[in-house]
Amino acid sequence: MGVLLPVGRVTIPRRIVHAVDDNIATEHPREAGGFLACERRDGRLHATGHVPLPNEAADPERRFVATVDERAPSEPRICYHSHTSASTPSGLTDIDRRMIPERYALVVFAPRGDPHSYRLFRRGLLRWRELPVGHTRSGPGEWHPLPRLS
Amino acid sequence: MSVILYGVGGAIVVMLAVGLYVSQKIEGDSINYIVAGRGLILPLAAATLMAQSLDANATLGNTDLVASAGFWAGAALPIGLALCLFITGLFFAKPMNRMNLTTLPDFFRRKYGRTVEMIASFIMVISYAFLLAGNLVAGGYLFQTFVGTSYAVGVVLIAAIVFAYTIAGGLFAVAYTDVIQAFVAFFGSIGLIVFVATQYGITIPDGMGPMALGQLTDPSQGAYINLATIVALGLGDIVAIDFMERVFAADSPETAQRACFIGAAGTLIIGIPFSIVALSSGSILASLGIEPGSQAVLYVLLQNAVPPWLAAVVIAGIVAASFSTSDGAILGTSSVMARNIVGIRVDEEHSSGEAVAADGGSSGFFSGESDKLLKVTRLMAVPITLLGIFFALRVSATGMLLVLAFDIMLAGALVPLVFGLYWPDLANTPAALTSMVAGSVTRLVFFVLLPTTYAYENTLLYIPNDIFTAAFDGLPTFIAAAVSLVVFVVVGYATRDSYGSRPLDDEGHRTIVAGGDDGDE
Repeated sequence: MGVLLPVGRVTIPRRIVHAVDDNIATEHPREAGGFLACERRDGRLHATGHVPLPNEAADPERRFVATVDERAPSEPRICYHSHTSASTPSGLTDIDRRMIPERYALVVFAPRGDPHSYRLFRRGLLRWRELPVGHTRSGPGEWHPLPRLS
Repeated sequence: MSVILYGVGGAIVVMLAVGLYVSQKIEGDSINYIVAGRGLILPLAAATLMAQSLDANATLGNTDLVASAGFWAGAALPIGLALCLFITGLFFAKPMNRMNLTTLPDFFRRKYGRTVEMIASFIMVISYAFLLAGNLVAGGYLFQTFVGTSYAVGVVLIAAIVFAYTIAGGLFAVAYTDVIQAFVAFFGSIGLIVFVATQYGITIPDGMGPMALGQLTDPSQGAYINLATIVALGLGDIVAIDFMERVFAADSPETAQRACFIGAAGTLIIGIPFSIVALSSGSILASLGIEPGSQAVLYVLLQNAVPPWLAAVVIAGIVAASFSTSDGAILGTSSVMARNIVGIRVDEEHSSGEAVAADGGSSGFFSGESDKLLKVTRLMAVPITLLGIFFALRVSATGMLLVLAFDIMLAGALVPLVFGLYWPDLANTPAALTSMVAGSVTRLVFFVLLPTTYAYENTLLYIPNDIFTAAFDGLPTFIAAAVSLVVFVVVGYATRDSYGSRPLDDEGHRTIVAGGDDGDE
């Protein structure tokens, strides 16, 4: 539907976190990315599927470039990509802020291909805001934040 | 009178039959319904663009304005519409067709996001509700004068007929009936000018003809209003949802472009003869000893100065023009409401499990075989048609609200579309949003400060003042569009480092560019 209240926090099941981690590890040292298909439940966003996208950048160790076409799941969805060098920030860079044309962006900080931090941002009208992101470990009621480096 | 009745009745029966017959092409698929499966060949695409641009305003309104204020006052309507189709063909038809869009606000969502899409959609839906009402008003008076119904019955009858074939066959029904409507309007227009020229001669009163260019240069002769009409239609209608729907429906970018050029030529060929006949109306009626009174000058001519068979063809042409624009307004508006305001986009939702019904077998308008967007689009046609009927019956200032609504569309939506296509690096969401709001609000402020809008007296909301007199009428069209442009450029530059634009490729797909390294791009 069209007009909905912004989500408060985001849940990514462990199996989808593992799928993201595997994609990042496989692509390293190239930056990896793709989409998480999601659905809204009780004012929260729940990831339901993982769609990796090939990196089309000319310099894939510094950039992640992909086209949003029929491969992308319907909205709501989260666009994710990895930052693969130890010198890169764990959050959004200026390029990310300006050039990710999506409502939700997940940045996975993964130097040497090992994810150390997951930070999720929602694009507002004028700026990006960070949202809590976590996973359900042992049951639907139990929510644990994913590792986060500031 | 019976010849006229049979002529109008025959035209309506044929249109209804054709519209309902081609409805089987829909096959439960919203893309077939909204953009005719993106498969309109050149003759259909051109005819539907031509028929959509010609409405009761460009025929009846045209003749009234020419008779009272000179050639350019009325001819500005078909000229402005033809200019719009020409510019659309030159700069917009090819790139917009390539993007596989379904409605015009889809472009605003892809380029600027959901908020801008919603604002653009609201502006467009309101404008088109008034466009529908304006054509129902003209049709209602025509039925009252020539068919013998009351005005209200005429309005409801026309709305019901157009509604029936539009929700049955969508753009397929609209396009096929538009071919008939374009032919009827063409023969009516050409027949009328040939008859008038041979029977009465063309008489051009001093200072009223096409060569009296004071009408375009001297504000005391209505130059601001005439130029504003050409600009508002020529540029403002580029963001018209019905024109663009036909551009998206063409079977190729080249077809879309050629259809626009042919539609532009057809609009002039059909519209200008009405202007020329109207110039002679004074001398014709004087020679017959008839006083036109408050009735539309074309109606008086048809009732008294031409044979019934020709009157029947011309009136059928005006009815056809009214039908063709009304059906496009109902279809365009209901699809924008379903797709861009309610937010149903089944053709883009591959993962949702609700695919477009490709092989149909639909057994009813709202059957389970139809995809969700089709069902909701058809449902939305109900409130839109009722709203059009309500405006036509209850709001006396439909004409003024129509031109105001299209001015707001020009001031609000054109600049973001042009920059989004041709200066994409500067075209970001804050620029689009502020430009739309600033342009629209500027136009509304001038509306309440001016005693007239396009020479219509402002009876709705006028704040008396000594600064903005009726002589200022026409200028707000240019000022509001200029404000929109300046705000877009200033905000775009101011925010380009902090809020990037959304790059689109040639097919309208967004491109994600991300990276951990903020170095040289």
